[in-house]
Amino acid sequence: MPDGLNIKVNGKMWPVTAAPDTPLLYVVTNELHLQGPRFGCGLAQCGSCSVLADGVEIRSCITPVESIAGKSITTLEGLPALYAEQKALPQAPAMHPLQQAFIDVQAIQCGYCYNGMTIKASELLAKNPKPTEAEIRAHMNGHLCRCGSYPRVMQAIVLAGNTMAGDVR
Amino acid sequence: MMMHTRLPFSRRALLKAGGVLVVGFSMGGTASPAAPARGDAAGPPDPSTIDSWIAVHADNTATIYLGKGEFGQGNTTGLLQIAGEELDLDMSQLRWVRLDTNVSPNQGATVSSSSIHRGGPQVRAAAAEARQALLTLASNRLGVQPGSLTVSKGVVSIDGHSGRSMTYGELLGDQPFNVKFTGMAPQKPINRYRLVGTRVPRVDIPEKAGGEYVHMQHVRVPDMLHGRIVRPRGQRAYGSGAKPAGIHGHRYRGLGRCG
Repeated sequence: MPDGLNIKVNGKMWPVTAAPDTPLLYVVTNELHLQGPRFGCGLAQCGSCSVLADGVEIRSCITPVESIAGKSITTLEGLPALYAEQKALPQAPAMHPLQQAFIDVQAIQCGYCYNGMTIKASELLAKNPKPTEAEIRAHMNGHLCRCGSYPRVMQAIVLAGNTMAGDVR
Repeated sequence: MMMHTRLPFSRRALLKAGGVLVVGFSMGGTASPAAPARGDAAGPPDPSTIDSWIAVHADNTATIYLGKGEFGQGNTTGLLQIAGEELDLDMSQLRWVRLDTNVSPNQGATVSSSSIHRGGPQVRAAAAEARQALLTLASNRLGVQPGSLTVSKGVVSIDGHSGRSMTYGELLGDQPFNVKFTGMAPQKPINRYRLVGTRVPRVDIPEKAGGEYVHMQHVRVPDMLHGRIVRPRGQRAYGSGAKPAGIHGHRYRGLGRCG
């Protein structure tokens, strides 16, 4: 039992009771009761468990919780607040522009891959709000959607990029 | 704004409460819908009563109870369109309940692209019968023949008298229909459709995008236990792998070939 292992998730510190080698996914699911990151393959092959660690996408299903101590983790639930921080907005919007774009273009089918798609795309758009289609494809490679919703996911990312370009920083 | 009625997930609590459907609902802190009263009966509600399919609320909305699973294929949206068409309600006036075998009428398995083609006619017939019941109520309250009534967005009006009208909510708000589902009510002719066949936003997407949607993997019930299959080293799920070295006890004799 790690005495005093604390992790920072969505801007808040959380004490961890699980063993230090427990996958981060299990901690955010079972202890923090977050349901953005979700178990897909458990092998870092599908991306449904993705979270951001200091803004960089990682696969929480194979990440021991102790390894992210000191980093700032953002899950789907924390994306609006992270966006507000990135854009220096006075307050967090109800949704990150990507989330709204997924609604606007009706990109979600079953929605299971959506967490990883959104996390990974937010990583891209934070650096490059006007990516080319080739850049989006290259960046999103490794996030699998069994429904086959890729064309609309592409549309949603482009739309969100346009929205973000309009939000000043 | 499409509303999705949330149900608590504890089946045991539902059973213990008995008839629970009435007590167990929570709807974002607002009023509870009328639900079929089934006494202590567990399992799906009686499909032969309209109350198992549709509840009309005081705010002039309706909850449609659907017995088909929503996996992102959009069948909930399509079935709500079918119900809204017969009831002359807009999508914004329709609520749905996530599939629950204690709440939803049994419409059979959700397989082989059958939700609309097999489930749709059931929903259509139930909604038509609900509409007929509502028009009968309106005809009594307004003192005119049902044939002289028209409906738009759940507002029942007398043809040619714009001033005299009543809403579904005023007619039945959260009270049961107490009407048998005969399937014989007249249905709207297809050439008068205005909702079916149009593209409406999927009703399940917003809460998925917001992260509130509970996928099966995140369902929690009180005192939930986990089970896991622990396989002997070398054994795969199917086909060759570890074989039982021996089987003790007559109850299991003959199962050895399964490995």
